[in-house]
Amino acid sequence: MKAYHKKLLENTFLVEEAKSLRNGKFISPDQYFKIKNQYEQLKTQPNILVRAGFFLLGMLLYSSIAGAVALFTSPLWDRGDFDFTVILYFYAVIGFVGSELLAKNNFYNYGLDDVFVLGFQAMLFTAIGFSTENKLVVLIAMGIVGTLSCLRYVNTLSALVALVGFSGTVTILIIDYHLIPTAFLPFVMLLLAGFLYWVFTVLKRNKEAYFYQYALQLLQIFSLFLGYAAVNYLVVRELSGELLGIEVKPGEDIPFAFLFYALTFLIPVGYVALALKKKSREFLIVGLLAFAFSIFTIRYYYSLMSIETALILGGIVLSGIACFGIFRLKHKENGLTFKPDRNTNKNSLMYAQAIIINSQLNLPHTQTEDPMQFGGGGFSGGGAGASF
Amino acid sequence: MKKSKVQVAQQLLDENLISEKEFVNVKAYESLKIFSLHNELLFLLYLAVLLFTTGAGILIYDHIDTIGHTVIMALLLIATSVSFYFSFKYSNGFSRNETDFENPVFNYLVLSATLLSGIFIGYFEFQYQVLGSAFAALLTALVGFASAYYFDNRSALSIGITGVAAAIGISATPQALMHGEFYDNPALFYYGIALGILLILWAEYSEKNDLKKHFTMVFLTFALHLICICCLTGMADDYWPVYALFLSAAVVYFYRKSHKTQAVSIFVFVLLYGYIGLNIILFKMLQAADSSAFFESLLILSPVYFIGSIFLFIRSIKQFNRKKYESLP
Repeated sequence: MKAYHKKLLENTFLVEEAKSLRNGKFISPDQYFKIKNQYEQLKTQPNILVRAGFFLLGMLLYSSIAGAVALFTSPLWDRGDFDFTVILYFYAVIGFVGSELLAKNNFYNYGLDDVFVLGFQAMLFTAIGFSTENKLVVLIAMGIVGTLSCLRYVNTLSALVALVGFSGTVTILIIDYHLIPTAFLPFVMLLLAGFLYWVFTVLKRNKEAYFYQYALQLLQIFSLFLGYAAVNYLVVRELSGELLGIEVKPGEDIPFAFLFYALTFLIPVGYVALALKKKSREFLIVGLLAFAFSIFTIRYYYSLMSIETALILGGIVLSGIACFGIFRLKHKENGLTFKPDRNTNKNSLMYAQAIIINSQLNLPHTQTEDPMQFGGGGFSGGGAGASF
Repeated sequence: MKKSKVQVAQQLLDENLISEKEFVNVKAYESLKIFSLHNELLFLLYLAVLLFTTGAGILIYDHIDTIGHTVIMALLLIATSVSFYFSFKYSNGFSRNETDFENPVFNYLVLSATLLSGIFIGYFEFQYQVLGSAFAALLTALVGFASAYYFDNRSALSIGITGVAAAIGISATPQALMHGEFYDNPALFYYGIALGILLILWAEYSEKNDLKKHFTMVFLTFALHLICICCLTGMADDYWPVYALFLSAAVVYFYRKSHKTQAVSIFVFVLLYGYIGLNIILFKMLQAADSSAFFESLLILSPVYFIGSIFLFIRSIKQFNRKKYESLP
């Protein structure tokens, strides 16, 4: 099933783990290079920036191939009976062949292979969409093809395609096909999230799970987000207006409003509590983000105070929580602690903060001469220059 | 699922790639079952500082010309002084090398003090207009640099550099870059490039004289993006060869520098900017040669061109990584 040689994939993972041992200063760089040279591995780009760069280049390549194909087939386009979806299917085939070729040449998580794996899926789903004009078919195709690509190319983002496909299928079945009354949609999605989480717990015990650890992590995070979003008040209310045509008049509220309000806050709090109990970073981060969104939800409907008061108060409360946590955990040596983990990098946090602060500044900047109309036109022109 | 560190270490031990002692180290550390909230808690604190200072900024500008504004200004001044007072009290004093507070919380106090004084200066200028906005920005920058060097704070350094850029009329924030509203007029391209060169010179000087060497990356990152975006935007201009020259000089310098410091973030962006610049030049040449005549053959050749570039990029990355292994201790 996998497009890669199992041994090579195993070695690639092992060297990656050895690298994290080196980062934690458990082994010396020399030892790490010895390990790295010992094992034959797949060609991979662990650095996210380099990988993004290759992703960009791969997109240029894919689109230039598409352009060349379009040129060759252009005489056909003028014929009245020509079905242009054929071209889309052909693009998908090109993407598939590209994925296979790259996998044959041992490119794994390199950026280039991601383009072709995701590109052929995008082309295929577009083609299916045009030829069937049916949302349900496209979503089911996303679920199946996404899963298969994830399994074959050990590609994490394909798992996201599959998950969107599956949950989309359930949604469409309820909204468009009225499988059950639409009012129950939030609860069905909550159940689906629970089901996905259960699938995660089953799959992670599988011995193949080692290769798909990132895809499984994605499955876990997706199910947590889905579980929260399904019953978030803002999401439910806006979507019931949008999809189900329920109009909320002043003085009224959506059905089960109280339940949704409660869950909007209970779920994030539950996630954070579980995170601390299970020592799970996935739960912690999703919980914190969800909590922030819950506050936004309340502010969206009720402005209890002006924005500046809310910001100042929020800042004070948040710094209180953070300082409390720091002082509580400061002297703990094991378990839950404030001591930096040897395996994580502290510097990257500091650089990230230095960049974000820069985007928050609002300094008065001076006008030296009379401003001319000179926008970013030149720059976007440069972008066009790059693609042809 | 993921193998535990102990399992990995066991496997490496079995293959005789690590020693027994190292294996025991890993095992001992893993048995502590550390779940560190270090980064998460500090990031929350950072977020709190941002929320608070943003709120304070809005509060002041909303109450301009009302009775309360002197009170708010006084409060702001008090908050700033208190923050600075405690920062000084707990700091280890100036050092030419990397230093830190014993408690990392104080880094965020320094940050809020710097931001608050920036708000104070900005408001003072807005209300009384005695300094001129360029001078006000410079003053903010000065506070930023002083805090950065005294307390060893990278975020304050970032504020300082942005302040200098603002003083000469460039808004060097990521949003401005994204929206392409980097400059108000073409003369600023030259200022931008000049500022970039100044930053490089300062970084080189600091490195030679052992003055906060770990700030070099911040300076170089600003300089790289400032110079390269100035040049690329300028290449739409009539005098594009001048900018092309500047760009190629910058690319050569930063390419070498990234190899020397093993900075991947600089290396990748140098290649990106260089590649965009090269394509703009190629495009201009094709335009001059009236490419519409052989447009079709260009379209067919383009995949070959991209495959060729991908091969070159793969080679240069391999080279970069090889050097990385050699240079490590």
